[in-house]
Amino acid sequence: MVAEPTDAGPAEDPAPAGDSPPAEPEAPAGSFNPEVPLHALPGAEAVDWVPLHPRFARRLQVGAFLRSVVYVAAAGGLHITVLVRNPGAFAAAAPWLPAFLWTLLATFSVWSVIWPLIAVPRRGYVVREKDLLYKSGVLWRSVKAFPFNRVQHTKLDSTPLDRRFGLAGLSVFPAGGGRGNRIRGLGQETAERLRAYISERIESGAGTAEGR
Amino acid sequence: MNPPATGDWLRSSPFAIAFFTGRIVRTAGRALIQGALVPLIATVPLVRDNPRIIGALPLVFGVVLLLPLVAGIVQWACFRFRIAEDRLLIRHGVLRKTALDLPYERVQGINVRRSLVDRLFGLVTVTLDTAGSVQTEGRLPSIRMEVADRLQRRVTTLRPGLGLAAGGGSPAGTARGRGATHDGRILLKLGPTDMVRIGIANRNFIFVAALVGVLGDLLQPGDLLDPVLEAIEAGVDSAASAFTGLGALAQAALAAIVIASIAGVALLLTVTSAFLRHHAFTLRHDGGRFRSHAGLLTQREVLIEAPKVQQLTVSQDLVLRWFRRYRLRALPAAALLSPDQSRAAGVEVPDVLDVPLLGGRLAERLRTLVFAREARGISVLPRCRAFKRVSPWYIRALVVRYCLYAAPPFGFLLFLAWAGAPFGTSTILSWWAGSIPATALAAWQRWRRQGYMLDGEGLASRSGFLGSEVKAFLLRKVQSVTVKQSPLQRRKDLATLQVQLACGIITVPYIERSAAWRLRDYILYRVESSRRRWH
Repeated sequence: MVAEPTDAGPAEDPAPAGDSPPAEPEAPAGSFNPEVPLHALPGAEAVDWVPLHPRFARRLQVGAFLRSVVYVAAAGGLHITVLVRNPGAFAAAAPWLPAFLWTLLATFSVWSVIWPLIAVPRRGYVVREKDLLYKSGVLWRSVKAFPFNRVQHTKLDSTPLDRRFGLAGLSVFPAGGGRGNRIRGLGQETAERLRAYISERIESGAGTAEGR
Repeated sequence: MNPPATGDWLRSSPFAIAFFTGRIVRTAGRALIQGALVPLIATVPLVRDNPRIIGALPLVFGVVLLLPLVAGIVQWACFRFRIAEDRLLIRHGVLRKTALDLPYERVQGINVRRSLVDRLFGLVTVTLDTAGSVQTEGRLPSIRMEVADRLQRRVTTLRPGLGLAAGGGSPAGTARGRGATHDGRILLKLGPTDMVRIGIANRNFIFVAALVGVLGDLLQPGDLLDPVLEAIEAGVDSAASAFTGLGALAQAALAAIVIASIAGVALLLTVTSAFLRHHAFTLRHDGGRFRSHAGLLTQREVLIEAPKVQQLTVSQDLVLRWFRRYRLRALPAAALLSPDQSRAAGVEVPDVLDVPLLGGRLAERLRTLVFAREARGISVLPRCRAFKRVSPWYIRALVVRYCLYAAPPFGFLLFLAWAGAPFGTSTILSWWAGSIPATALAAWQRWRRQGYMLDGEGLASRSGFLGSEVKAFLLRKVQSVTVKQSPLQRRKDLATLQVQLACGIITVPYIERSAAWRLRDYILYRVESSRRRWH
C-alpha cells in the first residue's frame, strides 16, 4: 500500500481544473477564491488549530461534578432504603455487591471530572477561506472538514450552565444529516461571529452556485 | 401569497379511500407492535375468564376494523388539491389542517404508481419529489388520468428538463401502454427469465425457505413429517447407520424430497414477488433523465434526472455473481434513510431508481450516462481489477473489534459457568478460542472485498463479505470529509477516510495516512472550487 492518489493528489496535479472537460462550467479562477490553487491549500496537519475557550474544560468539569452529585445522592438514597432498613439484604448471596457498586460509581465520577482536562486540549478548530475544520478525540482522533458551500444552515445553542461560563455551541448542518457536527465550547462572541461568517459564506456560495 | 387562481379545487376519486385507510392501518399496526402489544396481551387472561366480554368480542373487532375505514373516508373528504399555474396546492388534515404549496420549480421528479384498482378505473397516483425533503410531500392518490395529464403539462411547461418526453410520454400515457417508442432509448427490458433470476437471487429466499419449512412442520404435525425429521436427526447423529437399512434410505429420499419441495415453494414465492414488483421492467433514458417502469398489478414509474443522482450503488451477491449480473440503485439526495430505517421510523421515502438485474456493460454505460462527462476513470463493477486494496492491518483491526464485541457475552457465560451453570469453563474457553480463527478468516475475506478506486473527479469504494457492493460518487457532490485515526492506525501510519454525501456516509478504511490527507484535501478542493449545483 504505497501512497496512492498520486495521479489525483495535489502534489502531482497542479491544475486539475484544466483536465476537466470544457463543457463543465468550472469556476473562473477569479477574485472570489484567491488561494484555491492546490499547492496553496494548507494541509490540515499544518494548520494552526484554534483551541476552544479556556473556560470550557472548567465548564465540563462543573457539569460532570453536578451530574456526579446527583448520581451519588440517588445511590445514597437507594443505599439507605435498601440496606439501612434491611441490613444484610445481600449478606447471603453477594456481600461484596454494595461496595463494588460504590467503587464503580466513585471511579466513574472521578473519571468524568478528570476527563475534560484530557479531552478538551485535544479539540480545536480552524476557520479557513472556504471550509471549517474541527478536530477531536484522544485515542480515536478525527478531523472533520465542512466546506461552506455545502453547509445548509447553522445553529447556535447554549445551556444555562454554558451561558454562566460565557460559552456557546455551534452546529453546522450539511445535507444528509449525520451526527457529530457540533462544536461545543466556543466563546459566545466567537460563536456568534463564526455563525455570521459561515452564513455569509453560505449565501454568497449559494448565489453563485444557483446558475443552472 | 396569492397564486393565480386557475383551476378549481379537486378531490381524489373515492378509490383513494383505500389509500388513506391503508395508511392509517399501517400506522396503527406499527404503533401496536411498538407499544400497545404488551398491554393487549396482558388483558388476555382478564378476557378469558369473563364470558360476557367474549360475547362482545366480535363487536369490538368489528369496530376496530371499521374505525380505520371511517377515518379514511374522513381524511379523503378533507383532501383537496388545486393545479394552479405555477404551483400545486394541497389542503388536507381533519383536525390539524395542513396546507402545502408546491411550486413546480422545486419538483425534482415525478413518480407514478397505479394499483390494480387504479388501472381498472383509469386512475393514477402521482407523487412529486421535491428538493431537500426526506419525505414525499406532494402525493395525489387515485386521481383521474386527465387531471394527472394536466398536472403533467403544467410542470412540463415550467420545467422543460423534467417533461416526460413529447408524444404521449406523460405518466398516464406510458401507463396506458402507448407511446413506448417515443420516450427515448430503451436501455433495458427484463423478461420472465429475468424474473426467475431475481427471485432466486432474492436475499429473502433462505428466510422464506426456513419459514416454509417451519410452517409445513406446524401445519402438518402428523405422522408424515415426524419420521422424516427423525430420519434427519438420525442422519446427523450417525450418517452411517442411517444408510444401512433400506427403510432409512427411503426415509432419506423422502427427506430430500421434502427439502426440495420446501425450496420449491420458497422459490415460487420469491419469484412471484419478483413478478409482482418488477414485471416488464423497462428502463428508458432520454435527455439526462432516467425512467423505470415496472409492476404486474401495481405499476410503478420512477423518474430521476441524472444530475440529481448523488451515488450509484452496484451490488452483486453470490447468486447474482453466478448469473454474471448486477443490481444498481441510483440514490438521490432525498433518500437520506434506507428503506428499512424509514419503515421503522414511519417515514415514506420516495421511490429510488432500482434496476434489479443488469449486465456489467450496461452498468458501466449507466455510470457514464449518470456522471455525464465526469469521472470516466472509475468503474462500478466489483470485479474490476483497478480497485486498490486497503492495508492488511484492516484484518487485525476487524479481529480485535470482534474480540472486543465478543468479550462481554463470553465473559457472561464464563461468569455463569463459574456460578454453577451446567456447562464447563473449558467448553466456553474452547468455543472462544475456536471462534477467533473463524473470525480471522471472515476478516480476511472482508479485507479482500474492501477497495477503492479514484480518478480526478470521482471515487468508487468497494466493500462486502460474500457478495460485494460498489458505491460510486462524484467528488464535487461531497458534503463533508472526516479523517479518523485509531491508536493502531497511528502506530502504523494509517488512517480512515469518511465521506459524507447527501444520501449517506461512505468509508474508506485503513489507507495510508498521507494518502488519506491528500485525498481529503483534493476532495475539499473539488468541492470548494465547484460552481455547479450538487443536487
